[in-house]
Amino acid sequence: MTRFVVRRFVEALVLLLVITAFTFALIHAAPGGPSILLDPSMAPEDAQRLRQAYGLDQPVPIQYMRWLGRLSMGDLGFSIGVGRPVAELIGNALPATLLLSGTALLIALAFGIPVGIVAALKRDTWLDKLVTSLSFFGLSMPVFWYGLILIILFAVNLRVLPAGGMNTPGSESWVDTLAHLVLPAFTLGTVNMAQVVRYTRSAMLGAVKQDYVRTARAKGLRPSGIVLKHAFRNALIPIVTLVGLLVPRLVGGAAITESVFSWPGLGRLAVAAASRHDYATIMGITVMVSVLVIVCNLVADLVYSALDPRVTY
Amino acid sequence: MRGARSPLKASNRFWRGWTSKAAVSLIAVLALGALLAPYLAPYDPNAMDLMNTLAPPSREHPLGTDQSGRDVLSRLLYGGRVSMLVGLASMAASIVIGSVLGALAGYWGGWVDSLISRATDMMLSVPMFFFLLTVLSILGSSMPILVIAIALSNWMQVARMVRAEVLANKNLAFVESATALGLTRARTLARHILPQSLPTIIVAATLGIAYAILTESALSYLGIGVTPPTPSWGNMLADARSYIWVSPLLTLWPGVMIFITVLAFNALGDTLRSATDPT
Repeated sequence: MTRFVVRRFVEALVLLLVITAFTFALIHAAPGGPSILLDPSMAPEDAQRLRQAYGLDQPVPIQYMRWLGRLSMGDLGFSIGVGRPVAELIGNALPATLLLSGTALLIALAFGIPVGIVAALKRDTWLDKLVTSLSFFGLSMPVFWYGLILIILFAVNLRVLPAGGMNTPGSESWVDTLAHLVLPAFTLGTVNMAQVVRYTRSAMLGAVKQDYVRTARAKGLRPSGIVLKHAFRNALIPIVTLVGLLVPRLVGGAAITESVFSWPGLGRLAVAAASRHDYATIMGITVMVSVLVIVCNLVADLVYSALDPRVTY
Repeated sequence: MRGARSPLKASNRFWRGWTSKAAVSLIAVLALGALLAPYLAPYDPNAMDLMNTLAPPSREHPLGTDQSGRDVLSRLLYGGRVSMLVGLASMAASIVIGSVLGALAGYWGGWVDSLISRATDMMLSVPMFFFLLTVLSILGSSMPILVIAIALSNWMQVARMVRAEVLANKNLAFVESATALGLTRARTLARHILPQSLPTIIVAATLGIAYAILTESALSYLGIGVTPPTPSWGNMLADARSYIWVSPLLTLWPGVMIFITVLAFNALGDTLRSATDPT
């Protein structure tokens, strides 16, 4: 067990190195440098001084090593474009992203798992067919369009919910934030629910076919007891893996949803930073998101082995 | 096992339900629309008419006009061209990358397999959206870069499936006989082992088109995919976003087109999968 965790940890570090080195190389391969240095109103000497101050005149590998050195001390660098430390920008955006993705994940699991179980138990009935086709629609739905349609429906036509943002200007109450959260969380949650339903359904179909379920039935146990205690607990194992797989998708989907709903999270920050070639911020977000995804995958693997005693690492 | 794989039975199973027929007809219509866009479109997709902006549907403009007075129907037809092209091209690229790597890993085994499998696993845990965002915003989003970037974000599943297939097939009798006949390893792999994985590859390709079209439209919506004035369903939606209060209908059509196209390819892939792999 300890060996497994250590191995996974080392792998995660290697992965992080590869991702950051690649991103770093890519960013520095782009011509021009940060767009602020291309500002024609800036004197060439000033631009040169800025370049020196931020170490942009050094060879790329050296810049990367320096960046890594600062990262190991928790310093994510300074955004030239915004004039603020990257850690501060990310710190401001991260809670919004966690709130949105967390709520969406909760919606997806809280509704997706029961619906998937029912569909599996009622296999080949009209209910199952309805659920299967609806989840198929969900898989093919462009998140940003779905979000726009909900905005038009609930904000433009019915005027019951705000169209975007996280707070009404001037209002800081959590009720207001909640009202702003409804549409984006519903958008992201239902789209990901499709995947959860399909996965739960097939995992349950696999589980109810097992011998121990037949034995339980032969012993005359109550059907609800069989479903929950015998079949579902085994179906849970693949579902945990799914949650691990869902997180990168969720973070990416959250970024698109954030853009549609002007939600002030990491995704919007990333889109803005990318468009002004803000190196430090792009690198910081890449590290943040990669760490988030890697940690979630590791946790999923550990939960997996806790749930299934047959799995030993 | 071999019987279940026979093409005739698979094709019978494929055509049995209505889903496959609906998906194939829909894709045929969409493909025709994209191919014949220059003949079907009533207007030049980029012809502006500033006296006639945001017009509701009319006899001259069946789906109305956008904020620059461009004909929405014409833009939808040309946008479909772009989406299909990007979808097909990046699917092809990701299938090539995935099959080659998967086949190498499965056939050669040893350190080649470890290296490729580790790389595949690593790529699977990269948050792809941020990867695409970084690549496209820095390299600029020309069509070839867009196609390659989308392909690079989606070859991993193909590689895994092909590797598994090659592993399962490489010790079968006909492979041994190919080796016994003195064929080189490369030739045995390319001519005898890889073709066995064709059904798997076709299914992955179909689902890959759906993924690529969905991704392209999301990137175009964010302004880092297909860039204006070239119409794409995604960037049409981005434009329409500013006018949801005055003409919400503008957001309807491009979204419907993305949705039904992706749905059709997903449905085709799904029915193909159950036809070729009846388990």
